Amino acid sequence: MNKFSHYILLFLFLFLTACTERVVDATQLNEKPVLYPDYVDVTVPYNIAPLNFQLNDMEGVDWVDVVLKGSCSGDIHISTRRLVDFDKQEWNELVNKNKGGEIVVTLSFRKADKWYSYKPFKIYVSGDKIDHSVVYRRIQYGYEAVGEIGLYETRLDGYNDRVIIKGGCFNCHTSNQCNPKQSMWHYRSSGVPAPGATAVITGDSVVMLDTKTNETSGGFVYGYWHPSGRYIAYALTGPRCFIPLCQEPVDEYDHFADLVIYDVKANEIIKDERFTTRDFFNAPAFSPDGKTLYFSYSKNKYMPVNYKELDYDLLSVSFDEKTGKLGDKVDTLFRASTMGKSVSFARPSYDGKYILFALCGYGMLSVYNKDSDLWLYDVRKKKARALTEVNTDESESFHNWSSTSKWIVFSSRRDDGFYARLYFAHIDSKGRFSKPFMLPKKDPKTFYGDFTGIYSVPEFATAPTPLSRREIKARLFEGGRKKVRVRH
Amino acid sequence: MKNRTQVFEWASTLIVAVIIFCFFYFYAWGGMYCYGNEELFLLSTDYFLRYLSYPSGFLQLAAKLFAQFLIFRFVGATMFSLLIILLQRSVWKVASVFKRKHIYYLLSFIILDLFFFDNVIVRGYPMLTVGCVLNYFVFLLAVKVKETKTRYCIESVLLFLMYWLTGGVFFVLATLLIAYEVRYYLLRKMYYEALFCLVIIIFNTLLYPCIASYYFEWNFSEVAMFANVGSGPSVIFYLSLASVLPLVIAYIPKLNFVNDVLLHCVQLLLVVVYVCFGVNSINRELEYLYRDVYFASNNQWESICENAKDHKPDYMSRCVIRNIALQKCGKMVDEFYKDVPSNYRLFLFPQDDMQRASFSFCASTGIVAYELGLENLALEYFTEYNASQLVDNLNVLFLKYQVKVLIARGDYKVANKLLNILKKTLFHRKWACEMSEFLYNDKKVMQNEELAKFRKMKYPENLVYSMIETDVVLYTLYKSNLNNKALYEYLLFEILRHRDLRDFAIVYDLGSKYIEYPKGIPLNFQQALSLYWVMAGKSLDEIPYYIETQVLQDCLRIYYGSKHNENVLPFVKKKYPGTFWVYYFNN
Repeated sequence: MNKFSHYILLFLFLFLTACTERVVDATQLNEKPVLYPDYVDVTVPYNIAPLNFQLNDMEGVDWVDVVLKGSCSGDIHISTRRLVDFDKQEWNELVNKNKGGEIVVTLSFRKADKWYSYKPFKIYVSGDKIDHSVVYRRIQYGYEAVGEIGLYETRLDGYNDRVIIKGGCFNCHTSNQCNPKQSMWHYRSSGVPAPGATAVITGDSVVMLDTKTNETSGGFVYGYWHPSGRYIAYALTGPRCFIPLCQEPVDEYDHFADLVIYDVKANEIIKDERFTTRDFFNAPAFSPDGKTLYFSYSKNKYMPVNYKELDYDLLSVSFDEKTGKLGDKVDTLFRASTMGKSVSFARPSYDGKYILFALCGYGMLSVYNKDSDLWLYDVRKKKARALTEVNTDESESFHNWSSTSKWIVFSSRRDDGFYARLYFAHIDSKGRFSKPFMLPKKDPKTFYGDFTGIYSVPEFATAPTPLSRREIKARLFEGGRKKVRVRH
Repeated sequence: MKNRTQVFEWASTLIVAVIIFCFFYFYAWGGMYCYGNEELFLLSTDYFLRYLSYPSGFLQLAAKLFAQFLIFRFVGATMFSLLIILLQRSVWKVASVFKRKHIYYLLSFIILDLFFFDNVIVRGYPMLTVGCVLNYFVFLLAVKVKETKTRYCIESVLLFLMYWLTGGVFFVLATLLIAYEVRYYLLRKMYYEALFCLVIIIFNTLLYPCIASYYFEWNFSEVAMFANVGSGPSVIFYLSLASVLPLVIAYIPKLNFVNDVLLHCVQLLLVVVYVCFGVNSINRELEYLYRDVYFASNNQWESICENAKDHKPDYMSRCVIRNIALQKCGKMVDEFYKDVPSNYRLFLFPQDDMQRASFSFCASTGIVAYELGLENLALEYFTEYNASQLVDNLNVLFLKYQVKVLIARGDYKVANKLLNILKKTLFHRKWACEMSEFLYNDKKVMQNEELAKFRKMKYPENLVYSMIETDVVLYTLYKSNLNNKALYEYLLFEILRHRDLRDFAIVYDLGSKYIEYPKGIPLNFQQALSLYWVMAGKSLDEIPYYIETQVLQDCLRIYYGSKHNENVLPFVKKKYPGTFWVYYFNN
């Protein structure tokens, strides 16, 4: 080896040793660390992306040391200036080795040349797998402006977002029990650059529907697939945004809300006069066996003057898959109106055990209600309870179940009180939820800190969206719209 | 001789630089200020990497870096003149490599024309300049490096990088330059080399859209859009024209004197046509609006009034800002009906919903709402504009307003988030740090005059309303803020806009116990009160306010005249120009 090589080796040695610091004589603190995102004592699936984090308050902290130790086996040691950034392979190995167990995390930090160690916290690794990805709408918070609104897909074992479609008002993405090969979404438009449409995707086929007819009150809005894939239940509503003088900067109310069934195969709306009256029927959802339809119901209110009195109850009605017709017996499952509250977006779990819904002060769009909380209705016990282990003082809304019904995803403003982010929580066999954790990002503080959009209407997907953005756009802008008929 | 030519060339360039500097420093400074605020440039690795990850991102980043300096008048004007000179000289340098500098000389100034296009001005110029300079160095490398295989390799790598970093600007120029090389080889019968160059062109021409198209799932129009963000296709068109024409003409065999003269004439014509077209497209009204926004954001209300006097507002948004400035200067009650076109004069808020996400609409509505204490309306319009932009293009000025409203209403969490974003900027960090001291500190908020005033304004009830119900909103807020003169006057003028004399009399009476006019009741209000009294059939002797005798006499004359179908407008216009009566009797 010549002289030059020696210098290189010396430089490398100095470089490597200069970049690590050892915890020396740390003072033990009697508290757990406050992290961003808050991953302290959360339960995560074993196939989740590395939960990168940092101390929430980095004031004066110049070094952080983190040791992760699996209850079964494996460990990771990270020494860093700010971001605790896990190597994906190391992380995957550790969580897989500790499936069903826990990872004990010891975090130390150096401040003014002194080391401090927090009380260790745990990350519980669930043996229940989470779905492939989460599909959601990302939107800038505005009254009318569309901005960068779009439908996105994020793999849950990674960080990258994929654009499904954007560049217009795309909303209410709904798939059939997390199957992206059977899904739908709406495109709202005044006609330019393309007329509005409801896109129904079945396998490789995309049909663009014109859902307005002379015999119905409005176009399709909130939809839910029948498990067979033959029908979609829709609420026909006329939501309007407005600016109240105080409280929320933007609020919304419905002019009307009717309930219809759309027969995908026959391209027909099956209308039932009982559910298209002056009363409000909203946000339908089929039970996993397809025999029951859940929906929100409120008596007619003079709108918009009494928009704060629009309190929806949770009701159910039987459904005949053969005829596509709703049955005679209508049951009230949860009477929220007696509490002065409103049920929004009932979402039955796919194992049929529970119905998850948001309970808010009034109306359907709980995201605008700061008091909106998640509630769980036990189908067998016929009882509902507030998810105190999940809720916060901020709005929790737009919830959905994973395909295995072991995980939920929801949108919450808990992070900064305004910009909704996605959170995940695990449900155990007793119906108790774990502490929710935020959608992981490579550098969460920087990403969520700089991002001024909101995440809404999330739902799990078991596989990537089969169609490319270009394919979807091509179909959308071709201009052809299939007119929906009404079955008589 | 050579020295004289050089002096002439440099002198002409410097003269152009001075003209550009003067144009921006003395005329277009309002636009510079607003455009400078349009560019949120963050000092963060994540931000840089995000930009560098897509085609032409580097160029956009460079452009954003430059654009934020525009908020400083002197720096902005200097920067623009330097950029333009750099651009002109680099085009010229490229021409000199062809040994055809004189041919490009006139045409290199055609780029001046681009100044006059709004969408080009901010990002277009820095992008073009950086793109051209990079392009120039690549070209020099390509021409000067010895013709070996290494050169082709260097060329390919550089071209790939340039395509990726600079996008469309390089796309056109580079293709033209390589086309020149092809020609060079063909003339020397070096067919393999020519073929290789052609492959480079085809490869890169296809590569760029293909990468963008497949990697980002873009369609071609999106690729084109991203390649020329901010500058638009016009830039590409002009540059192509500037490059292609001389190239075509320059290589007509055996150039002679006639051809040269003809060429220069054509170029001169082009420059004149483009500059005339450019000058014609300058939007003076918009520039004045930008100046008003600058004054409003710096609380220089008198300057807005002066600006309106010197250059009468034509845009609705300008009238709206002018009205709040009048109120701030205590002149609203006397001058509200003066000096603005009759169709716009009465707007307290812009009424054109089609322009909801435009800068002028959001700025004027937001500023007026902010000054009046209409918290949600102010927040809504500043947020609305930013929501309509791409994620990284938040308007800094509006962000600051958002922060102030949020702090005033106690939404500290959200305010903190926005402040953290502003702390990552170069020029707004200090402001953000100062504002951070108000977070979660209600006592300090109440000690700050501006924030405390906003916080004290409270609505007694929540209402659903739309913009056309401005009077309802103002009345609701005024009911619980009876000492607020701005609200009072806005409410009265809003009622007068509807010619509703009865409501005017009621509201005037309500506020007269709290709001004082030391010089007596303003003439516009005297006119409205006396007219109401007469029309209600009440005796003028019983009117509980002091109205000038002349006004009372004229009121009776006008009333009875109009009752007998007499056209009273000429009399009113002559005796009381620019007052409420003119508005009232004018249809």
